[in-house]
Amino acid sequence: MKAQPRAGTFAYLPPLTDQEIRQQIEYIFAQGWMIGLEFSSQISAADTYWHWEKLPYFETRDPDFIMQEIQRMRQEYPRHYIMLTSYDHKRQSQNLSFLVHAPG
Amino acid sequence: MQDKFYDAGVKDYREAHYYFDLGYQPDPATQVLAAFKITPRPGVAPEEAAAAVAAESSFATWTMVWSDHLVDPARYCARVYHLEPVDEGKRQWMAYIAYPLDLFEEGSIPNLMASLLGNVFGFKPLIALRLEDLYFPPAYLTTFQGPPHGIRQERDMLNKYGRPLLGATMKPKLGLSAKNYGRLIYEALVGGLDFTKDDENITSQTFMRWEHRFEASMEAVHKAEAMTGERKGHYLNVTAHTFDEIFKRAERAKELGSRIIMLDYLIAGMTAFTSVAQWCRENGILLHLHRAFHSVIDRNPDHGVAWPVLAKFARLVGGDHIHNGTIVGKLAGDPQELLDTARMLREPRVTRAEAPTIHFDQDWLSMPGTFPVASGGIHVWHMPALVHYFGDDSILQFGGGTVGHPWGSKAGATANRVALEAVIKGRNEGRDLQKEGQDILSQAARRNPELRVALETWKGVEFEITA
Repeated sequence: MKAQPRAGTFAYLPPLTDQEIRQQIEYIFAQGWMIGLEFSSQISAADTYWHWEKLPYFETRDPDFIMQEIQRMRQEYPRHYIMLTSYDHKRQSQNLSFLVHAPG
Repeated sequence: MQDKFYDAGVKDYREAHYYFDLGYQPDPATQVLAAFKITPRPGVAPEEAAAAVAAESSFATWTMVWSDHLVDPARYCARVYHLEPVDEGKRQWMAYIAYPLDLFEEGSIPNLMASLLGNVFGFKPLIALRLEDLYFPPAYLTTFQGPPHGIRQERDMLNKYGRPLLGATMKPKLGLSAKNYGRLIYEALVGGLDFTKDDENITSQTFMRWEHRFEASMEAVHKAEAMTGERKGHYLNVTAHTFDEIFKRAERAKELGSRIIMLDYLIAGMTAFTSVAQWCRENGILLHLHRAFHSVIDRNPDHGVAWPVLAKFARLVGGDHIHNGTIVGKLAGDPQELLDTARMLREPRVTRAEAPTIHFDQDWLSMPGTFPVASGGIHVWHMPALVHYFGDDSILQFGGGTVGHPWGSKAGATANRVALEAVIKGRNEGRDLQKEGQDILSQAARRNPELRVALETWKGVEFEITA
């Protein structure tokens, strides 16, 4: 048997609704961090570099835009995991990062 | 014939050399500053007692000696530059003492301890002496390695962001076979913990030799990683009775693919600690510091060394994790001091304005931060308070609070992980953890039976919360 694969900050919570995702995006922007989206066909402890379709949205502070991008990626990559990542350039680190889509 | 070559005999310390120099302006760029709480013996003036501390912890011996004349005392005398009453009833004063950089070998806590924590603590003019805080000037601080990897690097190594890390100490402390021990680790990790920990009492007793423990533990870690897709670690305790044994065990941990090892840094001593920290830096292995023995040193409010000083040693010499108390759990500790110490472990700069219990602003320059670990008598109900107090960059360890779950440690681990994530999610949504923490947990429990049972099991178990 295979345990449920887990990834991201909210790996053990039920999948977040779009409303809940949006609240986390607002939190990220309120901290002054930047958002990126990345995707992978599988979850593995050995693999931390998922695919980037685009660079992180360094200039964007618009939750609506991020939600549209998530929606677009869900349609484009329905059989992949999609992770929302955040970056803090002051601490030079990745931060709060969680799944926004899992294959059905 | 001349019969007086120098001023021989015994002088009051405050009259000798430069030891007592109120109003002296210390140089924060190069001088080590110490805040000593002194309790003079009745009949001894506080000025004399303070000067005695400065003298005995730096240049002096009890009498004048001819060979003093061969050196420049101004370079080697510690100076009392400020003295203020703490508690008139107990006849206690705080003596602020400046130490010139020439007194200390670069990067050597053993050398620093031999001076500041040496004979002076048994000195007769004092009934008691406590080192409350210690300031490291940039010129000295940069001679220390610091944490082998630090908080930011550790998060990348573990691929875990945006929340505290979760751990548990394996229980019972003693007696488990290696096979059963590995089972305990596997259950906790596959249930959702990031880390498990050897109890500090475990080294290599007859019931479980270290070789067997290491192999079983790493089988459990690797399997849990494969099953969950998450990176995991078990703090393999390498504390032992000789240097050779410590490094034999550390090398084996590395060979088995462990991401982290553990050292009881006060028991192993500062020399072993420094060597292990350097080994961890060179080998890409994280270092978890346990702090057994600290209460022997820091618990007496009148005598010894305050915890924040021992914690500073931990960051300077090089731990990636250090136990720092819980505020809400079973172990003693002043809440504000623990919060200030957590800040001191993590931040690039800490000031008295933000951290009221410290005596000196401390700049850490570019030295990475150390994770404070909260461990001891905590359970799921404490989760909102722990996140509120310690924030994301902390490690929360629930030993009994994991293994004590009625359905076993896998369920206990899941309960803690769900509780933690729910609290983080709620906090990010703007909810007040102090007021709404219990609601957040209860709501999360509706969709998670493991958490529901954990909440029922430990409802009302408190060790008294203040702060």
